[in-house]
Amino acid sequence: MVLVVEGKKLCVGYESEETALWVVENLDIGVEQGITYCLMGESGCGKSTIGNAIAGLLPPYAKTGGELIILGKKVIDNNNRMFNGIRGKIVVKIPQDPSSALNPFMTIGGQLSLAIRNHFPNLTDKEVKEKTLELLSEVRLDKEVYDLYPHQLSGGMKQRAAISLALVPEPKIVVADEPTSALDAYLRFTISSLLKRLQKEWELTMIFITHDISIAKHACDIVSVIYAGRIVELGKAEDIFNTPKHPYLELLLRATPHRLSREKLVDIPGIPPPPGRYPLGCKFHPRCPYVFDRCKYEEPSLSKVNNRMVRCWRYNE
Amino acid sequence: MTAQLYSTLQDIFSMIKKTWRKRIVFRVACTTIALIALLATIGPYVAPYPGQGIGIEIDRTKALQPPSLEHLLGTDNLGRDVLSRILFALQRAITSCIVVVFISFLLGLFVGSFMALAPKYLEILLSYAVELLLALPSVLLAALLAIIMGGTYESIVTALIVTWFPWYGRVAYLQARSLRELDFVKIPIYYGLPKWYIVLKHIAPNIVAPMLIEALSDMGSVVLEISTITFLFGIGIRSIEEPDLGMIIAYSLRDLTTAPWTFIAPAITLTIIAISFTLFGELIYEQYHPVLKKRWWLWF
Amino acid sequence: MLTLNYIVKRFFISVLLIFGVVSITFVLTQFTPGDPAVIWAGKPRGPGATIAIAKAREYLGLDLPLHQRLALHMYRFFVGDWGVSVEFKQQVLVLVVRNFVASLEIVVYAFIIAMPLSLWLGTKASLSRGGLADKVIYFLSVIIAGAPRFLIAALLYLVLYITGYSSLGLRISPLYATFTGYTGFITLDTLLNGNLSMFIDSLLRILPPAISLASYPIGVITRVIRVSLAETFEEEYVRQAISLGIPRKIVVRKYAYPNILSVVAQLSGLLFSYLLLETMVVENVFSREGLGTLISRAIVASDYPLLVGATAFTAMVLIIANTLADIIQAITNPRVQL
Repeated sequence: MVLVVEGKKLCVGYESEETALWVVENLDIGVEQGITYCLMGESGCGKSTIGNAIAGLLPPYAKTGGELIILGKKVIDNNNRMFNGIRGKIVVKIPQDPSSALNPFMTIGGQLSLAIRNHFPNLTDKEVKEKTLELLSEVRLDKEVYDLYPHQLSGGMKQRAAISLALVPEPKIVVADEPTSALDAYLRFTISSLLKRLQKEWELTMIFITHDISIAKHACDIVSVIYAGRIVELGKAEDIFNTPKHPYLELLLRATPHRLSREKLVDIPGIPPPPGRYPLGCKFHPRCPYVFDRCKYEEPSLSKVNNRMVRCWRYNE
Repeated sequence: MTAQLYSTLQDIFSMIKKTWRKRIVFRVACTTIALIALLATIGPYVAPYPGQGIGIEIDRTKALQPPSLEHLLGTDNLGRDVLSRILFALQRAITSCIVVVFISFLLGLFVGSFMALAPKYLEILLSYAVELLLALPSVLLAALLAIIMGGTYESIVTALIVTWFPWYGRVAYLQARSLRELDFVKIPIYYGLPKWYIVLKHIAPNIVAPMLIEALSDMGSVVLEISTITFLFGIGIRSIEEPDLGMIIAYSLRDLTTAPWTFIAPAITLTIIAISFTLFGELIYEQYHPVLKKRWWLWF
Repeated sequence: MLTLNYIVKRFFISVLLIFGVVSITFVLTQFTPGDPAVIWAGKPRGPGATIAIAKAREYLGLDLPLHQRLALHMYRFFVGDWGVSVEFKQQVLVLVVRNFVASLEIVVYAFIIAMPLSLWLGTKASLSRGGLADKVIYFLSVIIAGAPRFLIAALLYLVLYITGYSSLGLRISPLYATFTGYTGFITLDTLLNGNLSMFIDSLLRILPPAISLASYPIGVITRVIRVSLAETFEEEYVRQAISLGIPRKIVVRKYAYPNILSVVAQLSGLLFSYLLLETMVVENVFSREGLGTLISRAIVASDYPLLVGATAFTAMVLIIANTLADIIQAITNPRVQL
């Protein structure tokens, strides 16, 4: 299958005046066309960084290594990032907090029109307005929203508006960075359903970043679990949560409340290691209940187990 | 309390040290300030013509001479050595500036902190009073006080203290207000410890550090303000012989076109003082400002 | 509606503050150390002194009970009777307003010059953050703002002198006696009178002091805009716009500028107060009539009523200006509901 997004030994790090550290190291990632690919993990595990890297939104003081190829074009080659023509046209990002993603000084219609005019300079004013209204209806927003300012919208409406803004350039790849985290619980499914529908209708390839297991189950086809900047398990959404293989995923599921289940929640001891202080060997070994000697010194590689990829010595003989 | 004072001073020192390491201009500003302080202390003793500096001696035969080896900055309209005049005036300017800033700072600090702990009605009343004082123009107030207090230098100092301390008061009040919700302030209040004690021991040490840096930076503006007032109105100068930067500049304007050095020398001195202090404060602020710290090219 | 709330509150506070100013003037006139009547009469000496002091005593109503004095003072304040100037023998209020307006004209023109220039410079600096333009603009603005106003004014004066235009700073020329002033703003008045050549002349005359004065706000506003824009460029919605490929010019104009309006408004309010005082220095260098000359003569003559009146008037104008600036700041502030 054609890989729309392909990362080979991708590394991303940040350099500040005091320190320089790699958040993501030697990541191999492959996303197929038309799939919703989930990057799942706790806060600080590097999933947002990966999302930003794919969307071309890494700040200039970031360092990269390895390769990232989008639709056949190399956009990251060691420390060179060449996103001109890709960023904002082929790949877009839906940000986490919709309130800060919309210009508070312009109406929704105004912002959309501006983006549309910028992208399709040959349209007449009437056509621009039509297109704006079309986009609004795609995200199920009323026509009246056109003249409203962001602060007059509710959280869910703001998120829809942000999504519509991202869809203006008719992209092929959409990176959704925790699109539901800033919303109330009941809105989450609405928005994730919206995204799922949009993905099918527009034949998008979606990179869905989240830490919410139920959303991942609902909206995503393939799920990759990230820990300490590495993929530790990769598989189909319907399989991976029913039969977790990697200890991290196992513990994660046990620590997450499932509705209608009265099982006791078990906490995962310890905290995820901060970038720059990743332990030797398997990055999860300090917190792993199944740890044995090999885990402490050698880092396992991602290997195929049945229909899954797992990075764990228990499966990697 | 000395321990807290020491730790506050340490905080300030570390801020200064860090900025010193990072920006060359800051080093220049700091050295200039040190130089100014030095000159202000020993100025009158190293002035080449101390009698002329203080204004006792005049020599009309040597009036308005351009800078030469004898008189490094030339002579003014009464034949006095400009350099000596400036050195004497400098001491006066810096001492009065220190007095103003020191007193306003302390006054503002304590009034502001006290305001935060006071009962509600007092708090509102005091903040109203502070806002009112902030609306008063310093220069005009100095003129007013000059008449009441008989045209002494104290009227300028008083006027400036009255108009400056509300600034510190407001800052201190806002900071203290956020502190008063914290336990280490609430508990002593609950136990009935006297308010002044709490302010002294708990609140003041925590808000002093950034305010002190600002106070140092303000010194530049205060020197300018004092000179402006003396320049305009000559308040507090009992005779035109006395050295005062504002007065020197005011009288040198007469001969601006014929003997520009008499104006430029003291004016540049003032400029250097003002800029050094301002830069000092601004550069430290930049160093700790989260956004400006990132020195990278914008990516569009 | 949070903003409406704020506006009403602010307006109310400003009214209270003005009352505060009235009270301060009351204290300043009636409770000076020594004999208030002597001070009010301008510390007179020689023949006629006792008469003057007696008149002052009667005027101030020092023999009346306190509440009556207060009522009298308040009434007079709002009616416009602020006393008679000892030195100029005219109504204090009239004198103060006339000279105040002369100084105000310079301040207004200084703002008109400073605003667009600062905006341009600040934008340039923040767009090349850390680069050459940024450093140059920053240090230039520190220097011209840090230099005392009389230095810049004197330098400008020297330039004019050398080029033979030194009378340019003077406010009026003998030709000016031929029109009626409406606003006291000479530039406006000449325009309103329809006299174009005089208008241009008056405009030219106000440029040197206005430019000298403008140096301060240019230095300060440029730096503030530089920082505010830098902060705004970090905002998420600006990054979104950039990532969607919206060109830089539009991002700056439609996304960044509206965000800094409130900061600039508040700053302008503070600057206004400072500039009003700095104008006196500039006027002095260019030998112009204005608030500065008024006060100087008042001090020499111990003209207390005039000084009290000038302080009160200036304080009130400052309160109003700051209130306006605060209200604009609240309206344009994106953090609060627009």
